This record gives sequence, structure tokens and C-alpha cells, in this order.
Amino acid sequence: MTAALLGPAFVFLIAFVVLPVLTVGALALLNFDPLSQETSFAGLENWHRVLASQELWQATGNTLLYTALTVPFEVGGGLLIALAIRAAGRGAGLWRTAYFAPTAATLAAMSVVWRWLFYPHVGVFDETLGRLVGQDGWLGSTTLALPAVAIVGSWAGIGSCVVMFLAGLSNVPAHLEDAARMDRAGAWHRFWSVIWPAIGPATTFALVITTRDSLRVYDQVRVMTDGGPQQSTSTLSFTAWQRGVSYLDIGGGSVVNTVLLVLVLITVAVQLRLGGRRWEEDGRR
Amino acid sequence: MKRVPTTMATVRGEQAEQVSSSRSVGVEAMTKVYPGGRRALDGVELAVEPGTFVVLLGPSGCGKTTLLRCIAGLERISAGRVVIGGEDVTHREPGDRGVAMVFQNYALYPTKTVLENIEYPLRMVKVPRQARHRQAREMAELLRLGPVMGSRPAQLSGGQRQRVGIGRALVREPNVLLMDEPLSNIDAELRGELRAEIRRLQRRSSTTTFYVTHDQAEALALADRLVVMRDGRIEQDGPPEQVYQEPATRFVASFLGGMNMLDLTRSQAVLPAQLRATLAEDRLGWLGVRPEDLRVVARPEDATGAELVLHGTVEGNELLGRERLVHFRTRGDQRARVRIHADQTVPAQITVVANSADIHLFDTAGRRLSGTLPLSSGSR
Repeated sequence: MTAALLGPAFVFLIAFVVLPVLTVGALALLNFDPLSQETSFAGLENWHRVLASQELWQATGNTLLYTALTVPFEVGGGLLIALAIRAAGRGAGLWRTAYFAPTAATLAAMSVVWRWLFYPHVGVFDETLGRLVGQDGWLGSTTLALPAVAIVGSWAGIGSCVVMFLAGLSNVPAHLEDAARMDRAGAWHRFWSVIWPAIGPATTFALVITTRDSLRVYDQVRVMTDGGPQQSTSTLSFTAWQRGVSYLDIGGGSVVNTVLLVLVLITVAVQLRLGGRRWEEDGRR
Repeated sequence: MKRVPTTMATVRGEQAEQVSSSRSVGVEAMTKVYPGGRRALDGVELAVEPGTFVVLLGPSGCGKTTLLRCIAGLERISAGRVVIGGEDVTHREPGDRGVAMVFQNYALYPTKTVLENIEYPLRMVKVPRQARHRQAREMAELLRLGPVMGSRPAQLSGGQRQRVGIGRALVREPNVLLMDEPLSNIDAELRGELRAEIRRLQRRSSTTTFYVTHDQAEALALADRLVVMRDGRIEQDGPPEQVYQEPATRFVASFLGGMNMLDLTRSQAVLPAQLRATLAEDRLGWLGVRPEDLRVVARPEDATGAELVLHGTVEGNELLGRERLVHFRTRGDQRARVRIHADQTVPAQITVVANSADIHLFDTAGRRLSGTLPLSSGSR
């Protein structure tokens, strides 16, 4: 009975998670030429080659910077927007849809629109914000291209954070909010003593999921900048794709992929250890 | 009302008077209509003397909790006024009314310790750290929470959690304490203990208290003044003894003490002859008699001369402990219950009698009639 119930999920897990990970791990140790279909064992040669490359470290740095630019904005902004929607009462459904729309839309397609907004000199950004700060051609600048990609990523990702926080906010016990009102707690204390503990699980989930998504950023980079200019927006996912698919260096691409996987695992572990676990428990009390 | 104070003693006397009069509560023509049109409160009037323990009793949905929340200011009322200590507080925030509340499911701050929970309302009104620590600690000791002061709510038993809730409410010395079914989530054995403690604390602080419950035993045990509610209105309001002994309506009589109700519009045969003579028959609706006021006689012949006699067929019984509640159906096909000693055997056919002093009569609309009857006056 147990086997029958768990069976399908188990098969899916093996086929779509365990096997691909093992394959990537194996490919990183092989030299495989897709054109000649020749395979030879490479040992750690791929690893030595990729780990020594400046390209990998540049991509890792870009990925971390992108994550640092997007996650606080998405999680913090998502929480603020969710709180505002909850307070709004009337029209909450409209706002919820408005913020979730970018998440539901296809990011690659939307990135095309954004690329147009960022178009040098005549794009909306250069015509407005660019004039104010005296900067133009964001996507052509090695310093502004990554922030531009981060703006699009945040725009696309904030909706799912809003939805996660709205779900969390529906768990805030009403009687506890009443108690805080009776105790003359102001808005900040009501948030900190009542709402924050109750949304702990949602906060942890939003943080972990958003971080994972940011570390794996690919669509916007590919469409908006193609990693450029001068590798300044080249992220780990993009590099893995570039090596594995563009340069047909499947071994090297697999190494980059593995590095990304390890980076995601470490980041999530650190987040859970530094607070996520405690927040989750607070919410269950 | 303005007097010229002549001595310090009079001045002090006036201050005491001010403290106590700040604890009076007036609910005037309070109506609460929810969006959608449901009328939860319908013109409720209540004037409460300082220091009174008022119990609001009624079945679920009767508006008792809504009334409490409206006094607290957690619900906005649709019409009427709330007056506390002579001041109209209808439009004041919950925190600015001098009221505190104890919740059914405790509503403690989950991430704060027992002491921090009790201290919280003092912190919110910026009582200096040392003073509020001391006050919270004293309150915790008073409520026998000393050993668990550093624990979080999740680590406490239900009884301890509600003590924290009570401590948090009392620590800022409110003029009015509101308790919303505070004992209904607590184990039966602890409930009695905590009930006595609530009464003791209330007497000590003489805080005007509103206590919502649907448990009649709790209501009778605690109340100075018992307010029975039904469908958003006050059905009866008075000292608990009076409400129990002279229920104003058929509803109160059945709800409080589970009085038997015999439908007199179907048959007036059960009515004692002397009563029948004094009453206009068309007004008679119901005859009420409590299960404990009925006495079982061994043989139907023994009932001759008794004022109220019921013959019936036993349908079942419940053991209550020392007593047993026997359900029977009368010859006129009406249901009734009688309490007998648990050791007594339950017969298949039963004859019960009662004195006319224990009979309550209600008109067809359910209003008490016996208050106007010569035979029931001063009978108890």
C-alpha cells in the first residue's frame, strides 16, 4: 500500500531530479564531443580548467551581486506591498492581480519590452531617469547593465513574494491583533509582536525561493544583454548555457552547473541557520 | 454635585469616590448591525455599578460576545453609546477606554516570555523599565506564575496561559475588565480552580467585570448580576438568585437549569384546579417545573392530593453522579425530566408530583405569569 502511494512520486523524483544531477556530475568528469559522438574520461581536468578561469569567478561575482540587488528588494518590497494590500480591504483583489501579473507573464517576452525601455538615448529610461542622473545607455554600460537586469528581475519576482506574504498574513490570529489594540500597541509594535512572528514560515519560504530564483537568473540576461557588455552581466546559469550549448563544452558547462548547485545549497543552508528555522517555529506557536 | 472640601479626609473621600465612579459602565440603546444586515445587538441597555461582576449568559449567536467587543471598542456600534466612568467613549480607540480584555484562546504574544507578556501593556504606555518589571513580577507572583516567568506561552498549560492572559489584563489596573469565555478552552478540573481565582482577584481589585459565558453553572457561580441574552436583546437582568428562581421568560427558564416545559395550549389537564380558577385560560402558554422540584411517588395512588401530578412512560436516563436524570413522556405526549437519586431503580412507568409553589407559568408569548399569581408570591 505504502509503495503504491509513494511509487509515482518516487519514480518522478528519480527520473527528474536524481538522475539529472548525477548526469551533470558524471558529465563534468567526461570529455564529450556532441559532433563526433566521442566520449573520453577527463578526470578532474574540466574542473581544473573551469575553476582556474577568470570567467567562472566573474560569473559567480555577478550572480551574487544580482542576488544581493534583487532579493532584499523582492522580499522587503513584497512584504510592504502585501501589508498595504491587506490594509486596503477594498480593491485588494485588483492590486493582487496587478502585482502578480509580471510573475504570470513570460519573462523572456517581457524582457524584450524592457530592452526597449532601456534602449539607448530614445528609450524611456534614458529619456526620464537617465536625464535626471546624467546616465544613459544602461545596457551598454559595464556598471549599469547588471542593475538594469536586476530591475527587471525584481519587477518579475516581486509578485510571487506578495502572494506568499498575503498567504502568510491570512494566518495572523485576529484575536492577537485585538489583544495588541487593547494593549495600546502602535502600528510598529503590532507588526513586530503579532504579524512578524505569525508570518515566519512565509518569510522563510519567500526568502529561500527568491534567493534560489535569483541565483539561477538566466532569461533576462539572455534576452537583454547576452551576458555583455564585457561579461559584466554574465551569470552562472548564463555561463553554463554558453559553455554547454554555445561552445559545445559540455564538461565545462557541467562544472559551472555543479558550482551553481553547490552555491544554492550553501546559501539556503546559511539562511535557514541564521533565522529561517526560528521564524518558521515562531509561526507554528 | 460640587462640594467644598473642608478637611483632608473629605478630599481623600472624594478621590476614592472618583476612582470608584470611573468604573461605572453604561450601555445605552446599543445596536450593532453587521454588513449584510444581521442584527447582532438590538437596543441593549445596561447600567452597571462600579465593582460589579456582570455575567453575560446566552447560547452561541445571542450577541453576548459582540456586546463585550463593542464595550471594548473592537467593534464599531451602529447606534447607541458606551459610557465608562461617566464619559462617552463610543468613538474612542480600544486602548483609550480604560478597559482590558481576556480572550478565550488566550491571545498571548507567542515570541514573548510570560513576564514580557504581562509587562507588554505597561511598556506600550511607556512605564519606566524598572517600575514595569516590578509590577509585572508582582502580578506573576500573585497569579502563581513565579516558576514559569521565563517560559514562552507554547511551553505552558492551558490554565497557566489563561493566568498570563489575566495578568496582562490586570497589570495596568483597568477600570473595566472584559472576559470572553476565558475558561472554555481549559480542562474541567482546572476550570473550577481558576473560576474561584478569578472571583478572588475581582473582589480584591473591585474592577467592574463583564464575563461572557454559555455555561450556566459558571454564570451562577460568578455573577453579582446575571444578564441573559437572546437574539441580540437582554432577556433578563438581575441578581443570579432572582434570575434562577423567577425566570422572566420561558427561554431563560429552559436555558438556566433546564426547566421542564409543558405546553398548556395543547392540554391544560395537568394544571392544578386552584390555578385554573384564578387564570384567564386563553393567556396560558406554558407550565414550567424544574427536574429537581419534581418528586417521584411509588404508586399512582400516592399522588392523590398533590398539586401537580404527571404520569408518564420512561424513555431513558442519564447518570449525573449522585443523581440520575430520568427522561419521560407524559400521558399528554409531552417530554419532561426528573432528577432521582442514583441508587433508586428507574421504573418503566413513572408518576411525579410537585408543589404549586414550584410551578412557573408563562403566557403564550413565553413571558412569566406566575409573578402576578397569589399562590406563588413568597413561596420560596
